[in-house]
Amino acid sequence: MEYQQVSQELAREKTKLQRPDVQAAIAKLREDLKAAQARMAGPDYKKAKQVLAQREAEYDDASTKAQFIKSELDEALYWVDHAIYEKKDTKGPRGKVAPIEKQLHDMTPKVDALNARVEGAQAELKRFQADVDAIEAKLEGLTSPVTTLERRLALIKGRSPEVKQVVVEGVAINEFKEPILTVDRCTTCHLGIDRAGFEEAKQPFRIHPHREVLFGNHSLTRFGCTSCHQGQGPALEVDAAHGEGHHFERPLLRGDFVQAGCRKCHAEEKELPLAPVYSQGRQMVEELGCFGCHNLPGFEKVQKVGPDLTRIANKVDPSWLFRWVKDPKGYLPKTKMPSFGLSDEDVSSIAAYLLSTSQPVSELQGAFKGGASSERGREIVSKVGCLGCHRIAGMEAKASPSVTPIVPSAASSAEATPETEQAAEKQKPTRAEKQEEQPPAAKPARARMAAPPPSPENQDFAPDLSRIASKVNADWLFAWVRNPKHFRPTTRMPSLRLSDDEARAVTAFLMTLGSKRPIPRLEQEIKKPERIAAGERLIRKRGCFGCHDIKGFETSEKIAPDLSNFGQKRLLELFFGEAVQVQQTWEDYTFWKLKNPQVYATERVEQLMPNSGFTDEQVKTLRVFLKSLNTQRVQPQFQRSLSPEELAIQNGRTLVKRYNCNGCHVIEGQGGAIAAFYTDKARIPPPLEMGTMHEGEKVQATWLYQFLGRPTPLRPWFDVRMPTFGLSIDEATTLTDYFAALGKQRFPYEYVLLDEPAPELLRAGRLLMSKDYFDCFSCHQQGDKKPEGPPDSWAPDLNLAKRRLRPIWIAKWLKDPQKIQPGTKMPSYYPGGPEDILGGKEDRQIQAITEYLMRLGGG
Amino acid sequence: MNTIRKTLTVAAAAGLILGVVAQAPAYEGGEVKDGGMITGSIKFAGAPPARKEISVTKDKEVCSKDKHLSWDLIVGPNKGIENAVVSLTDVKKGKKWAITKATLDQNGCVYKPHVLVVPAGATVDILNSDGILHNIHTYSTANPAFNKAQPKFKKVLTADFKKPETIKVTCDAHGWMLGWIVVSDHPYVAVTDEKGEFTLKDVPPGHYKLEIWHETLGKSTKEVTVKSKEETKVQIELAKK
Repeated sequence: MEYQQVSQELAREKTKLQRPDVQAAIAKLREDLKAAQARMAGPDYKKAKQVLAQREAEYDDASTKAQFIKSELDEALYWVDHAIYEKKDTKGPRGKVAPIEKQLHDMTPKVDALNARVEGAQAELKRFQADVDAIEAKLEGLTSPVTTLERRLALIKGRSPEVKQVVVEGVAINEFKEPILTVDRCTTCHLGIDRAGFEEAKQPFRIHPHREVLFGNHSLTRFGCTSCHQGQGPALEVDAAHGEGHHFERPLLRGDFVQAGCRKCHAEEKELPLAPVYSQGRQMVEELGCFGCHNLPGFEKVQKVGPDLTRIANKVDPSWLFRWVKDPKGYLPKTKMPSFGLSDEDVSSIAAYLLSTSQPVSELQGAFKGGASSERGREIVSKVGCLGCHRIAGMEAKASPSVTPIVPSAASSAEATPETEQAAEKQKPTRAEKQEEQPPAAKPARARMAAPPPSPENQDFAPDLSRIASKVNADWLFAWVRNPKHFRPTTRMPSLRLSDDEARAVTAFLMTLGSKRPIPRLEQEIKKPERIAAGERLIRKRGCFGCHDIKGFETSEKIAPDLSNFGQKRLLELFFGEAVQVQQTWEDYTFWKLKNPQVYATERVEQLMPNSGFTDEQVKTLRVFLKSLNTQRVQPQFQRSLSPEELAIQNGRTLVKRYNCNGCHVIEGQGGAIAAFYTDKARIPPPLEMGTMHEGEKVQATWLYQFLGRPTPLRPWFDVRMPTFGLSIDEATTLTDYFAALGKQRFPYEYVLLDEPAPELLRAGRLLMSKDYFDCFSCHQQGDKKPEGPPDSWAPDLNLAKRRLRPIWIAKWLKDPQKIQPGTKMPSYYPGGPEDILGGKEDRQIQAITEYLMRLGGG
Repeated sequence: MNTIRKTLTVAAAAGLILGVVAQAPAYEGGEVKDGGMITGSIKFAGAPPARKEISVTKDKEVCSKDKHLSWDLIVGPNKGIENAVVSLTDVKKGKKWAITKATLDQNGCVYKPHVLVVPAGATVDILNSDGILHNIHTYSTANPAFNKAQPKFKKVLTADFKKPETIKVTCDAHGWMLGWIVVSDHPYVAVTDEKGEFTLKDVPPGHYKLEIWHETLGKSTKEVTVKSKEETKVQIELAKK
């Protein structure tokens, strides 16, 4: 592995060497070297050498001569000494010394000079050599990384492969609550798993995706590999290690399936940014209501997804009911109600039971009265906010929304998940699945760390009303739109606080959409006691009460298998029936079970699971979630629990999704599609969480809590109304905490504490807001004092500021409203405050206005 | 999803192309010796609509000095359209534009002029002759959009417009107020007078694309040829779409 890396480095160095400039430099150096070497071989060098030789000869001559003279001198001196010893006259010998000394004296400088000349010539010669050496050194500098690497490479080559392993105290615990030790030897082959530079390497050497985050939170030495990926940790052969040989129960989770591995520790979290398919699958289960029939861990407390049917006879037309049960998608193509593939006879039996057990509501009789203007109703429906959730053919968007929702939302990116599950792919029956194979798409932006909010793709969040009159009775509809909670306290449909007149007009309009189509003889048929009895049996068998409240089935148990260990089901536990076209794998079994449960039906074994008409993409998404379901237990310290902020955000998102707040408001940068129905962009529901706009930072928690529970119009001139959702105390608290957490405010509650400011400051604030200065009340209401001009040019009541707004936010807003809410009608006054108030100091002026506002309006 | 991705790619590509277009070589100003002239008139096709009276709902003592009539389409005698903007779109060279300053007045709660033409890079003095709170809310894309308050004590506000663009201006305090600022990087831009007439002088000879824009009637173009020291006459009819 290291070999690979070094090879890569070598390759890099080599390519560096190959770069034209480097190459040119090398070429030039080589040339210089050649030239220098040539010079050494050339006449100049020879000449220099000759000069040296000559000079050396001259020097040698002179030096020898000097040596002789020195010897003569020594002799002469000897004779002098000898004479002294012999006590003879020294004059004779002494006389000989002086001339020789002189000779020597004359000779020495000559010898020195000659010596210098020799050295000069030597230096000359050396220069030639130095040139060559310098050039060689430069060349060496350029090529040495390559040579060193080559040497290293040779070393690595010589190294024998070694088994690498991590022993971790596993995530999982056994039946005795003892941790199961695991040995993972995966890094024996996956050598580059945690090493930078291996992003593009071929498997098994590639680096782990999202390494920083994933290994940052799950260190290899603590978690190992198989605790997330499955497979056979200790095995050293590829197939065995991946657990893809025969009879190994926990094979490697490939492709999107790896996301299923997160759940064992992250069960508490609904959305995992790095597991988008899993998160989407979980969301689908919550919306579709699979837990109505199956026991599914984590969904024990979720409400039934279908409507209450205990008063159904007051609401719907019997013929419509017949058609609906027979083929729900025929009426609402996007409904989550699946098709049960019932015969006409069975359908009428079910209708018979439902209608006969329905509890009559006498007050409904004649409540609608009629006579209301459907035109007015149309106007109300188009403006008051119904279109935030419902679609109605003929009521189309007037303009593109002013706020473009951020396109790749959570759901869409999950839908766009590229096909990476090659292994699973290969095993599928080729029949129907050819068309689903898509070319691997570009990597979606999955690496987002802030979990995305629920997607607002459901503009058809609530039923499409285009043919509502073919379904419902006018009396019921009137009562419903006037107060939906009256009949079904748990409904998500909020009250728009319509007056009786308004509700009547809306009903009149809605009753123009479609018409009843009675089925002959149905009325008599559904009254037959044998039909009603058969209906009861069918409802019991097919488990309709899993999603609906039905009289007589209040205590019935879930009819379908428990799925809490479905992801670990072994093949012998799965019933393939006679479906020979289905491959004998968990993946393929599950695919077809979801796609078309009837493939497993045989003469003797009925399949009760209905068909939801999923697309292949939806099936695959759900399948990833199903794979995550197992009963394996995990050591408590590995269980990831959410911090209070994270929990507030997660629970808030669930409610935002449940009540479709996104239908009208931009929250977490998404939603607000209702804006498309309004031409005046100043009169649409305000964004709550977008860019620098944070509702939790803007408003006081107490106010928000009260407003959510009982909205009071802030902008009464708007046509669109904030509905009354009838939130429970828990729900209103959750949403308040959610916005507070997103606005980075402390929660649950924060008191707005105000010191008593200087009276001078309050006076200045009052003056600044007066007609002579900022003239705030030119647009803003102040209690009962309304501004001039038409209401649609008004702005919110500043008397409410004290209870509603956070003072810090007021100051931020005053400084630059456009920055917080681009396009707002509120103009910026700063920079440019008046010079004659508080010395023209901007911050002081803003403080003065804030303090004044926090006291405006008394009480 | 694929389609969305494609659309995004296409949008991105379009963005790139637009970006390239926006970076087209700038206009070069100099001396024009033997330029020609384009004159003409913009007429309304069909029966001219009458101007509607706008009701003043606020600050009446100031705003009701003059009677307010709608500005969105003013057709004068002989069907001439007032306040249409005529400009050459593909002129690269021509006369210098000496103006660096322009004035937009808020007087009687009306923008004067209704369409203001300014050179790119010019400073606009926005006057508040009314002495009441106005706010200048621009709907620009190339230039930074702003919404500035202009209270009574603020007689003059200044704003710079660096990039060529046609910008809508409104006052949120007085909903009926509407004006336009046309920022151009060359001087061959004119606003039609009450007869619907305009003149573009000292145009270097050549072929040009003449663009006519009107706030209600939209855009249309016409090819024109300008000859040295000659007058090119243009007559264009605009109809309601």
